Amino acid sequence: MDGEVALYTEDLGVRYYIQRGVVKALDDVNFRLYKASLTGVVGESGCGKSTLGRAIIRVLPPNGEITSGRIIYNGVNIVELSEEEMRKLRGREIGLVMQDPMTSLDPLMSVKDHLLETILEHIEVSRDEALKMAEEALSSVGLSRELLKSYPHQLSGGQRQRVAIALATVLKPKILIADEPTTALDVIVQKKVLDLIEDLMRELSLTVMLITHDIALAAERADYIGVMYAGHLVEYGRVDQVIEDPQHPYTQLLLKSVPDIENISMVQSIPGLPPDLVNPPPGCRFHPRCPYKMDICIREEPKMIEVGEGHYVACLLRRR
Amino acid sequence: MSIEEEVIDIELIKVENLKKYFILGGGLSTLITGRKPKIVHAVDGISFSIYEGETLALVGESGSGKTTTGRLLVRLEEPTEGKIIFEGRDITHVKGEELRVLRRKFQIIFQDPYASLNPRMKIGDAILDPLLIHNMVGSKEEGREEVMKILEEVELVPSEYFYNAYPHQLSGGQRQRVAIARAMVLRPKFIVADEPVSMIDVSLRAAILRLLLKFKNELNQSMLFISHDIATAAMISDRIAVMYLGKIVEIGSTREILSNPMHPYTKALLSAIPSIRRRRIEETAIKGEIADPTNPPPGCRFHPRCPFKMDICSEQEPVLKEVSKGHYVACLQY
Amino acid sequence: MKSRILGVFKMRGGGFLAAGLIIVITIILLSLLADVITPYSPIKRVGDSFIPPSWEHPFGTNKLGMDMFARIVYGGRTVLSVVILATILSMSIGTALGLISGYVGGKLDRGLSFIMDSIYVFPSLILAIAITAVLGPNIINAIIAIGIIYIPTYFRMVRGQTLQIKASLFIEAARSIGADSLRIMVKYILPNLLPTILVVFSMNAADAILTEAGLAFLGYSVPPPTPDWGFELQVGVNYILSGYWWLIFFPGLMVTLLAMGFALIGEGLTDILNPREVT
Repeated sequence: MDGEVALYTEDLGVRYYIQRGVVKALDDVNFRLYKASLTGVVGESGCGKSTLGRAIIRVLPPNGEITSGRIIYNGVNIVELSEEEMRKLRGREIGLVMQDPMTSLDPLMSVKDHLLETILEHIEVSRDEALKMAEEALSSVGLSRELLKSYPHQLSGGQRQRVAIALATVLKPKILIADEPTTALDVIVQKKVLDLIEDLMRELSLTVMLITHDIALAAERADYIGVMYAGHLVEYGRVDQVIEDPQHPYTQLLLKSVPDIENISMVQSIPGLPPDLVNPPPGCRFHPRCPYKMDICIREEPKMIEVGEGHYVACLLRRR
Repeated sequence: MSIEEEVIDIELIKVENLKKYFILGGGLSTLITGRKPKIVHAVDGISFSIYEGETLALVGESGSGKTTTGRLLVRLEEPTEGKIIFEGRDITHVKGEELRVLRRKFQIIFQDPYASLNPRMKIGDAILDPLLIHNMVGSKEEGREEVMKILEEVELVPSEYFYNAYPHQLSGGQRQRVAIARAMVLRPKFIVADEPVSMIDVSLRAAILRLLLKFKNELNQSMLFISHDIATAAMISDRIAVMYLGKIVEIGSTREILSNPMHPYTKALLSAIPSIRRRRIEETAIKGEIADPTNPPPGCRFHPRCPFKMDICSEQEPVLKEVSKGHYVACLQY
Repeated sequence: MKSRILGVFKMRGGGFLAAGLIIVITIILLSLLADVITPYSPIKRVGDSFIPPSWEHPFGTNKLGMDMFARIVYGGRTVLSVVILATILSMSIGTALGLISGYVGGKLDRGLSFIMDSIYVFPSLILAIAITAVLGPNIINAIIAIGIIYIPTYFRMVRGQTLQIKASLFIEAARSIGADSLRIMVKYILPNLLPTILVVFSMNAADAILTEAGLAFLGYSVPPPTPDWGFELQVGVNYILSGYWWLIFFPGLMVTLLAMGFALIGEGLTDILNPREVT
């Protein structure tokens, strides 16, 4: 039933170095993206979902570092690639779309400049051919070619995000990492941008990783869902498994915390706050907020176990 | 939760043909460029009432004028035209000392809890200040007790710690609790909650909403709940008003709006919201993005995006019409 | 608490701050404890004229046989009191006017800004001379003169920051709870200005020291024989060719050190109060 794996991580660990100490941003993450499918990564802010996306394309901030594990793409461990080889991979094989395109687009460059720069940096084509590619990319995201001459500030939020998507997909990458691509947008525009990503997915057989804080959004769009908490992947599976039969208490609580337009009732909060990752709690990192906490949860760190076909959970309650 | 018919509803606040235009540019830039200053029609003639103890949700995209409406109601913005009647009194142009004293009765909770607190003021002092301003406590000690009490009510415990903390030591959710405490300590009759949870982590939103409801019930408050998210608005409101480009396009009980949306824009808003329970739905496809409020389209402002557009829509401006009891819609289809 | 205070010096800019504080505090202590430190009076003949630095007279003596070390440490009192009082004067007036001007805006703002700009465009020393020339040269008038010329420095900075803070959401929030203008200015805006005012205060003190020395050098500050570094410089200049270098070297050194001390404090505070690193 499951397709081919496009990319996977093995025991991935990422650290950030700050004045106060070392942030254990990711630990032992075993995550995978299936080919031509959409995988949603959800969790509260600070859970490591953006870090995971950035680690995969190796654009961590200067104080961040991959300290353990592997990221395997096409049989190659990305972690070991040189910066030069990585640059070739970015854009051509793996594209990235970020939350606020206003910060990722250069205010002094027109849409055309942005597209041409990306194209000419990666592949050897004439300027005319590059221009043609740019126009095609723009029309593939539903924007007219007249916008080629516009500058970022002349575009609406939705248009900017479309330009960012055109930039990320102009070289026809295999994987698209979309980090909260619609958080800054209104619901109607959000829907359209996501529809666009789905269209591109079908057209280019893209593999998409959609990072979002909104589990309802992931539930509606994704084929697979990974739930992250405090730097750990705590649950992973097909969308029907995770949404209809959530196994981790955190996933269950997360699902109860978002309103559902189909069935309006008061939502519930998850008590407490996510932990400080400089000093994460021992054992299961979720135990201080968990309603089903057992004594063992304080001592033992749960490992991912398979509870259904392709459905994994890291919770000591589920250990057989 | 919805208003029962046999209850006689008392209007707490009544808004009549309220308008707010902002002038962009002007001054030197006009002189140099020769361009005419642009006029933003942020709120363009809206009328509604909020009854005692009722929550009205104001829903729309950014640029719809919902935040400006909220700010007009608590008189942080001077209306260009129209009337605001509060407790039977016209407060549209109340000024100076009179307005300052009146502020005790209506309070606003802002969207951004990171910017709404003075970074150099202790939490305790921030909550104490409104009490001192309105002489609601006899002494600082008495004030301190009041503050401690309300800190506990908003679940910022140990209250001793939070009293002496500064905003930067608090999380977004905690700051929003401070903002709520600060507004509620005045025991206002009317609250404008301007997207109070949109900048807070999803997992913590429910607690903030419950807190608002708790105070609302305790103090029999009326509330204007502003939100871009109709699902969140639906959880907390008795009625919903949908705004588009400075106008109310539909208003009705929450149940009615959810089960029987009439305006194409309301339908689109509802179908755009992702849901855990469904995957993809039949949608009301609308085009483009919200128009420029300096130059709203003629006729029905929604017509350039509307899938049901008729010829008349670009000529005639629709007005709110009652389609069923208490359910009004401004659309030429009906 | 103690470790938190000491921690300040470990921050970026902490070194500057520490160095500046050491210099300034040493000079303040020397002046305050002048009676204890030196057995000599600063205004009485204590030996021969023009004795070069020796163990007995570490900074030598002047034409009148006064001990230069005594004149320097007692002179520090004059310099410090003039500079600190003048700086406090300009700080209070400049801050108050800047706050009101920025907050109230409109015609008042335009008027005040015009006056302040007019003062600002004058070279400070010339303006100080003009003021003391009108008021008469004595210590109080020196304080007033120096005080006045630095008012625009505070005014401009405070006004600019007030305009910025006025637009922030927490000011709007203060308005919404019914705070009046005075309360907003004092309780909500002023505390947010303090860090910047502190920085300007130290930088400005450094500058004021030089202006005071200039005034004294030209004879517009304290009347002789009250000791004052600028006055010593003025006298000393006449003897450079005679080779009596100590008459000018030590007062010059002290002026430079004190000015540098305040400048270092300002520099350090700037770094500490406006951290540029994000993480």
